[in-house]
Amino acid sequence: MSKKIRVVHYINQFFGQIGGEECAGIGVSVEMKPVGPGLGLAAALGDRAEIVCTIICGDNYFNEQPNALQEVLAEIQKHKPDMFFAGPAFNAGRYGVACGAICTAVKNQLGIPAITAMFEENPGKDIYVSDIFMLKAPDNARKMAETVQRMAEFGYKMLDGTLERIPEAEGFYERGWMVAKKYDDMASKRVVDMLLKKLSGEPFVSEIGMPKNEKIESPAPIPLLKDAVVLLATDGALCPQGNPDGMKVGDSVEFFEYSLSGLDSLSQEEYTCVHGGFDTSFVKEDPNRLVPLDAMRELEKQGVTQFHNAFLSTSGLVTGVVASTKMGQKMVDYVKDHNIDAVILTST
Amino acid sequence: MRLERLYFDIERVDFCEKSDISNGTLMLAKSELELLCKDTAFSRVEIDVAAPGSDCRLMNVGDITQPTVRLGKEDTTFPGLSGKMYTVGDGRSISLRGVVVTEVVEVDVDIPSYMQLSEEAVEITDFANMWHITIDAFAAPGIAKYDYLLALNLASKRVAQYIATLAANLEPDEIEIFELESKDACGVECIGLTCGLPRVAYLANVFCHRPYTESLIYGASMLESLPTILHPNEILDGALTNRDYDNATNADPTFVWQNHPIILELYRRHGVDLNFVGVVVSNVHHELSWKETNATMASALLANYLNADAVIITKEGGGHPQVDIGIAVDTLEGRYGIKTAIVLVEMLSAKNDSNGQIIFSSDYADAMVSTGCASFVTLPVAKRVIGSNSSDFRGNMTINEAGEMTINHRALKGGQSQLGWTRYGSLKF
Repeated sequence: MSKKIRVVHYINQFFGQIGGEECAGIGVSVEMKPVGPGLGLAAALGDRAEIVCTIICGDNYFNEQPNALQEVLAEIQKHKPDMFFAGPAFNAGRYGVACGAICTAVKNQLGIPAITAMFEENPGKDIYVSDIFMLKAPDNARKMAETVQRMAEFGYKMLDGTLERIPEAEGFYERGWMVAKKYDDMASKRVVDMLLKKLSGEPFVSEIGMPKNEKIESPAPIPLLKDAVVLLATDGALCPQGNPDGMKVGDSVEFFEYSLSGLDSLSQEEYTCVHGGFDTSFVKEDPNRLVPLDAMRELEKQGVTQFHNAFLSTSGLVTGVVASTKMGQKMVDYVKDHNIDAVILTST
Repeated sequence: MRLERLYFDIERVDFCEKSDISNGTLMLAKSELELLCKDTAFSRVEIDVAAPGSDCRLMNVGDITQPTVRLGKEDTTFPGLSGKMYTVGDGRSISLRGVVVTEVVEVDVDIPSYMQLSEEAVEITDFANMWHITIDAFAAPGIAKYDYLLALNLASKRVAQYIATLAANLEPDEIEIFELESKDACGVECIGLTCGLPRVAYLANVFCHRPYTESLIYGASMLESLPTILHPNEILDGALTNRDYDNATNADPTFVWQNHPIILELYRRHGVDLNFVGVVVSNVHHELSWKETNATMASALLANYLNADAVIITKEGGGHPQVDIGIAVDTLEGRYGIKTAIVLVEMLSAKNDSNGQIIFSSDYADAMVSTGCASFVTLPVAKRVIGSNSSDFRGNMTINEAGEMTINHRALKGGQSQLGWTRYGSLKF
């Protein structure tokens, strides 16, 4: 008989039968057998796999100790799993966040299937749903047996590469990604079919949906502009000649800070533009037309306002909402750290 | 307006002393074609043939054209471009099937396209199933890029016409009639049948962005033009051509306009389950005021002159042309009560976020068909390479001319069609 698939299972202190809320601060421990929900999981996995150990950690410990994830990950690695399970977390918030964080790290760093399940309102779901396949689960443990059964089946599908990327069919939360799909019919026929259905009131499914965007309120106006500090930022990919940071032409994941100290203007000898999506010749001729340093210095002289002595730059081309949101959050941190009151974003 | 298209199926292309077509074999005299391409913009031109399934790769591909000629009015083939200005779409035209004329560009472009004729490419683009007569043109010393591109764009049209003319005295394999008009109750000939079927029109948003990143209508850019109505026959008969070299992965080549899949589909169903009433072409300008003007006026043409009940909308170009679609959808549906369905490629995120593909907001845009998302294909080592320019996406990708090459579907000519000439879509998960 071939070797059994090695499985490591993560659970919290409650399901690890250590204790409830009063024990949530307990650190990482390892049992060399299935524990609690692991018994049902082991049964569901059958003879093909074996739970080699169970890692147990208090929910508060995991969420409050900065090194907890690394500790757990080190334990997982030690037992050389082929497949990893966490939870199910149902509607336990801190537990769900732990399961999501650990599965994401296991997937990224060990490259093995990492499976968890939780309730749709568990905060761990929204944080990690785009990173991993996350199974749907009810809000409490009454359906434990059914949930671990689905987790086991799902794990085998991931391992065997038979998982279909269809959320409804496979019972996972929609992750917000897509892959190319070849249809039997040309797009030209599909669109005519869809139009006629729409016209006659028959049901049809749009292949693309309107995005669900977060509604962001406009901030209050700055009361006194002359006391404010304004930051210049651009998604037009302005950078020093030679592109020392290797800024990408698009598909960006990071932005860069370039000092403006001691400069009155941006010269074409010192700055260039690496954006891959527009005619950059005007910017290369005069970089001030993308990041208006010359005009900014003039306004400073007139006492209109003050400017932060650096600008932020990235390339806003085929950069998706997920990556843009992450960059935006880091830009907000930058703005807060530097006591900036307003930002002028020049886009291309 | 009645167009008779005479189709000739070409199964083989060979070189010989004198150009001719017989029994499905197209024989070509290189010297004749080279003479047709002669231009002061070129130092030399190499004519070649790439066979389907031959593991041949074409570097830096420009426009692809179906051989065609307007019988009896040969000098109006590709009107306003290589032919003289004349409203086309009536009479008889020859179309050779299974063979295309393909430009190989020997100057640097911003975002190049490729063609490979191996199995892997057949999965992705129908162009890989065709014979390619290639025009590999080398720029004369000191010639400006745009002068070179103009000469190349015209050369391929002349070659396409010349080759089609070889079939002039032969029996076609198939004849297809394109005619929308019928007589109404008063005996007046009208566009569309008066039979109670829904009146469906097509809004083609073309991308005329800058010289040589543009589509042409009768040889003219729509850069600063207002929208206009075209009869679909005009488009099928060579009035709409492609001249996009720097951003060519965002536009369909001339071949796809000559065989526009949405126009052909609407024709197939004309009088069956719909009443095809015409086409409006409108440019997607990069300035918002132009977008508002063009989308508003295009909607008015569709509503007030074509009296459409429903409209299919496509675009060319990248992200911002979606805004034109958003304005048109809101105007058509919100103001005129005309139903819309949209064709869009999902290319706004290289990482394929499914929630970040639309940059406009509309309650009416609820019927959208995808023509695919970012997807890569690895093409095997090519046994033969035509073309020597390996300019790539601003140094972002290493292209080995003959070696294994992993490229985005859209970089393979025909691998991404915003006109719906593809079976690809996307699967969300």
